[in-house]
Amino acid sequence: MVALGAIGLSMVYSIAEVPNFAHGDLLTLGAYMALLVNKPGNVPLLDTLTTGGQSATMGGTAVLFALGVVATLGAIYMLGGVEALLGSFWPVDVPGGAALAVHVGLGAAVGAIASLGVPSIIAAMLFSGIVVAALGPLQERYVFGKFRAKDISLAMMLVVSLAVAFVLRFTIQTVFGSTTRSYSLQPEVEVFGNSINMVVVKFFDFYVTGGGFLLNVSDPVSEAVLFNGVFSWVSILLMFVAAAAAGYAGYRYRRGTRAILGPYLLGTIAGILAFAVIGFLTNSPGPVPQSPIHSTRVRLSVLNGAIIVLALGMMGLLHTLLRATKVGKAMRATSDNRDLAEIRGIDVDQVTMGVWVIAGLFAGVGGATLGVLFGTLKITMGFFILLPMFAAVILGGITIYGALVGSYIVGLAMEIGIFALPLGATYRTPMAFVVLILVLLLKPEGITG
Amino acid sequence: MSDAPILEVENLQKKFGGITAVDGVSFTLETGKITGLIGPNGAGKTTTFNLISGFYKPTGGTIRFNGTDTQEIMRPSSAERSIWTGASASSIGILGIGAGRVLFGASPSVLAGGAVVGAGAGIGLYLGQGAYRNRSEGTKHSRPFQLAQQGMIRTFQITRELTEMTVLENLLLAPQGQMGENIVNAVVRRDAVAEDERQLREQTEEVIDLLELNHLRDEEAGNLSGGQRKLLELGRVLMLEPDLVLLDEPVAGVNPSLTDRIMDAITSMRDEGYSFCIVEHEMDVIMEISDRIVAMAEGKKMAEGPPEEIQENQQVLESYLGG
Amino acid sequence: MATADILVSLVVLAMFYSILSLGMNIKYGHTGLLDFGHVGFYLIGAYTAALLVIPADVGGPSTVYLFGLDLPWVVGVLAAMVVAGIVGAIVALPTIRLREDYLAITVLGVATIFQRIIQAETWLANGPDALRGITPPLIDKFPVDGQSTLGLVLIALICGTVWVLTTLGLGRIRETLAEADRSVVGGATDTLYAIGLLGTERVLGTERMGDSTGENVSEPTTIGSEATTQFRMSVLAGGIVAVATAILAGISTRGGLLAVGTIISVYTWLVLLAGINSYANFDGMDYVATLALGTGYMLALAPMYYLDSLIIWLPLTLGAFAAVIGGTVYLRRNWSRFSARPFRYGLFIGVWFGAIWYFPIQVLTPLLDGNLMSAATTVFNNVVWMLSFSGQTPQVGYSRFTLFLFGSILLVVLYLMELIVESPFGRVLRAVRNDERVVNSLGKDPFLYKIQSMALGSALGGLAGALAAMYFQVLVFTMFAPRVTFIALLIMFLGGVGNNRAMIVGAFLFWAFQTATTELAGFVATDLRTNFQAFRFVLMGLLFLLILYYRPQGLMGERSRAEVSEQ
Repeated sequence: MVALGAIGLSMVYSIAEVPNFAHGDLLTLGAYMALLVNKPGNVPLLDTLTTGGQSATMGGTAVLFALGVVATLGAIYMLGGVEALLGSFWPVDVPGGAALAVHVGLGAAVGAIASLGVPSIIAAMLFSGIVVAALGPLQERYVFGKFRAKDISLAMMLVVSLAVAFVLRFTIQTVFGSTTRSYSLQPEVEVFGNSINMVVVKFFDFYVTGGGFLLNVSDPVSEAVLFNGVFSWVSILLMFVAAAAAGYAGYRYRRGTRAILGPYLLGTIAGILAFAVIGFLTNSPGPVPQSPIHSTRVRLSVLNGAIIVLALGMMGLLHTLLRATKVGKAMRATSDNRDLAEIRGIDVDQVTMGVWVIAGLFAGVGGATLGVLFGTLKITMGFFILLPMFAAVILGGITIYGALVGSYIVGLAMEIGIFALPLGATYRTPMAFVVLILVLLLKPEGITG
Repeated sequence: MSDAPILEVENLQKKFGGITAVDGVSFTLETGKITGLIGPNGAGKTTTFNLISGFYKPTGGTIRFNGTDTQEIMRPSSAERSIWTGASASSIGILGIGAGRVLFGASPSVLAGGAVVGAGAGIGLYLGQGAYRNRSEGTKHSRPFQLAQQGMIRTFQITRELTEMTVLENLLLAPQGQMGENIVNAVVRRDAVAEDERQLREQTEEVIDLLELNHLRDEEAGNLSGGQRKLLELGRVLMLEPDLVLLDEPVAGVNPSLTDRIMDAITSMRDEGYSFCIVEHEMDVIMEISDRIVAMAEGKKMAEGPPEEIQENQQVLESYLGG
Repeated sequence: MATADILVSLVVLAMFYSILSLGMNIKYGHTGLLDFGHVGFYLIGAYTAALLVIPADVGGPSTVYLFGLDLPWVVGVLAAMVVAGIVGAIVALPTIRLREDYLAITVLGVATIFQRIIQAETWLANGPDALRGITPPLIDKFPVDGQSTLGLVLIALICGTVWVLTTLGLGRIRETLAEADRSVVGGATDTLYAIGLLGTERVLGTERMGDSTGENVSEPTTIGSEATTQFRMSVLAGGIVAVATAILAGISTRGGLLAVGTIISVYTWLVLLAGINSYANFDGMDYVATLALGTGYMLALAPMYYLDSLIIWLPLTLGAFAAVIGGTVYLRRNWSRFSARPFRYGLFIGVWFGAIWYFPIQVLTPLLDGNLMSAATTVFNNVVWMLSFSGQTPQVGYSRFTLFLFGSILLVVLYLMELIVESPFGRVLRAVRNDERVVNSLGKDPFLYKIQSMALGSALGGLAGALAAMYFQVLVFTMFAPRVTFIALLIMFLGGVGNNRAMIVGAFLFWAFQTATTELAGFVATDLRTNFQAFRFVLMGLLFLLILYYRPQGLMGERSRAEVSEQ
């Protein structure tokens, strides 16, 4: 999930003009914050307030509740001081008291979810997202903002952020020590009365045969076949044609408009939908071939799927924010040209703080997600995800949408690279850089421009 | 002094994205003369300057300096080519070692073989891409330093002196082919370098005297006034003794007395045989000093001729008033 | 480990980190290339040297590595520099044209790739396991006690070199005093210098002794002839000391060595004092004030020494620290003596802190036991740092040899770097840092200079790596984490960007802090030690931020050009 982190990083990079080396450690922070909710017994100092590994005492609950409230209000405060708490950034005018009440209520809700939700990982993600969203802007306020006021060079800013990264990382280590930790996840989750196992992987087997393409989804534990379908070449062709047609139609339908569902987005969604629908309609069950031309197996658990959905959801939210709200417009303007935006009456500082809040939120959730994906929490995890993130951001040309595309390219390169070449998993991070260096070598002007 | 023009610009064109900044401009700069380049804001004067001095790659057209195409002058030097050849040989050689290990195991002979094959492939790759680029005529070169080595020196509109270095150092930096600029000489042949440096200092002191910058000699250039910076830039040009000097707004924002000094310096240099091309906004100044004027507007040449003629040109006057 | 050994290892570490930071300084300080991958060249240097020097089969069949040529160290170190330099240039080729932030990130990526290659490729350097069996030069000959010819030669060499270096340092101190018009003719420093030169000034250039304000404005690229004379005098004096050492130690292993060791050690201490004094320019009041603050910091630690329970000592220590820091800040704000020279005061509080630790604290336990003899021995051992007294006779241990070796290398490197930086080549580098386009417009290829700068800086990184391999004798890929780059940057900003000598100061400050906190960590309960060690990195990061904000030019700052040309 390079993407979640990369979005935050690229926002900070383009809008706040900070190439933030501390962003990786912000993710680490997010991962460890989630631990507070998920496994309070595993957190120093807090462990005295817990009973057993995973449930908190009254004191522990109170602490988490307080943290949730403070973090929520803190994040809002960072947007613009007391006025923000009174609702100055709302799109509609409301009395200050009412806005404050809503904010406090929101804080209480977050606090309640965090304290009562122990040890749910979803509550933990929310909690860490909010906490990091409140802490992220602190960097801007007490460090980067001050340095920016001194008008230092980009290189110096880089050095500064490296120092911040150092402080962050080793603060985490000071508190948590250097032992590796992990979340405890409930493997079974009740959804609509059905118990779904989140952790066990499903096998997605793809076979290419003379007659077409076969997808077989199976559960390795129960050995049950969940889905089985053969796509003949004709139907695949049909799928692609339909996808392209639907995509183009979507694109044409929205061309020239600046709605939330822009031409590209609608086109893409329509294309994917058409692809899936035609695929669903035209497949037919078939036996697993004995000698396929090519076969590959992808392991995917419900959890992974859920994370992908979560990431997409958050991106959708961000997209809506950027396109539909005034704040979003201000952010895009600032990203294009900071000075010009300032001249045009945009409160650049407030926008910057807002960006940090969002970046913090994404980093918090992203960090917790990483912890779930990796299975272990390490002090260095953020730093090693930072490198691919930077690669993605630079590939994408330091824009928010570019970062998205860049992170998928980098993510794919990392995975495909280590499979395609006879290299060990140690080379996952280097792969990202090989891609980056190649792009910089071949087309540097495409990125600087 | 020959009558051949020092610089010939033919049908010069430069596009940025969709915008054409310079659109088919042709003119010549005569040897030993001062040519003024004028035009309203956005006429493409500075872009033309950047094209002539090699900082931009032209989209089309040719520039000939002393009869040679500047693109020819800016071709990669053999030193640069050998650096790249060596680098691609060694880096692909390392890849070759890696490939050898993966494919045939880690015996020394395999690794050595991999290195040799890889290095060969690297050299081949480099030469191949060079040949490919040469065949496709699209590639343009931008190596301003090679033009400068041939005797074409420019200054910048927003003065670009080295702010953290003293006036003296700024001037000392300018001359070409200094012995001590070679790192090996700097360590090994210190006496010769010191002798070289001593001669340079004498020359520098002369220039400092000429420009009356004595009192500022050890001042950091960042602390100078705008006019003093312009003088310093001119001083750097003097240190180099070039054939052609391109001055980008040499008196913009400079007080009148200093303007006179700069103008005097330029004319006396012209009389010594230097050729000049000057971009300037101050019409009085440029009309007074130039032997010829090229007027531009909206990326195109509008008029060319002696100052008196240009001053009468209705089109030029209009473009100024309109702009 | 004797306290003197800790001091020596501090100095040795500071020395090769100085070289590492010198490399960084060439790149960033002089040319403006921000290299976040400096550690990569450190790695390459370390492994190149190690693989060339290591014998073919050390550590049994489970240890696998390439080469193992068993070459002499000289070859290994030179190869390390050359390889690191070439790799630096190759890495620079595609990346150097990029914007500064892209450059930094890309080079960081390259360094990470190097680290991963070492980790993953077991055939190259034993993969994720440590590469052991690196034998530093001549280690089997140590410790030496003067009973063999080789021992005598080595001792003489070490003692002579220490004498040369110390005397050179003293000469610098005298010059500084003279420049600041604070030299007292016939004062303590002059007397010490006269003693240190052992009368060699009578042989070489007596007339130079009196007046040290040289003239050579016209020759900034050559080190002034006076400096040369000083150098010759010091070397000659060192030679005399070496010969004397050999003779004395040859006559009586025990007494002679003891005498020479004591004299040299005391001499170094005196010079150190003179140096501190000349830098500080303090009067009695300042000394007392800094001593009081230094003592205060030491006392604030007392609860940690004497109380076992974390719950009790932690708040006490923190409270005491808060009080002392509060006091320091208050004085810094409100006391003109302090606020006029905050850095000197700060430094001196540290110096006193170290001094208290080095002498009184070490003898505290024997003194409390009433064991005066033992206390006196400890003090003597700490004063006479040259010798170790663990054996029957006084010996010179290997760490002293390392000190001598690294010290000489550092000095040579520094000298060469100063030459380069002061030459027209260095001038172009500074111009590139200032504004590349000007350099380009003046007919010089900035690209070529940047590549050279990268190669040179990387070669120095490689040299530091080779020395690190020599010092640690074991290499693991985790030693080459990006943290090393951070430390090199910290040292550079601490000392002064663009100032070669400041790198040494920065490295010493850094390692003094490191050593102090390591010693402190010894008192922390074992299970909290990692937390404590992490905490000091937090402090370091905060310190870095403060320096970047309040004093981006570093403690010593860049030596201004005007000052250079006046010399």
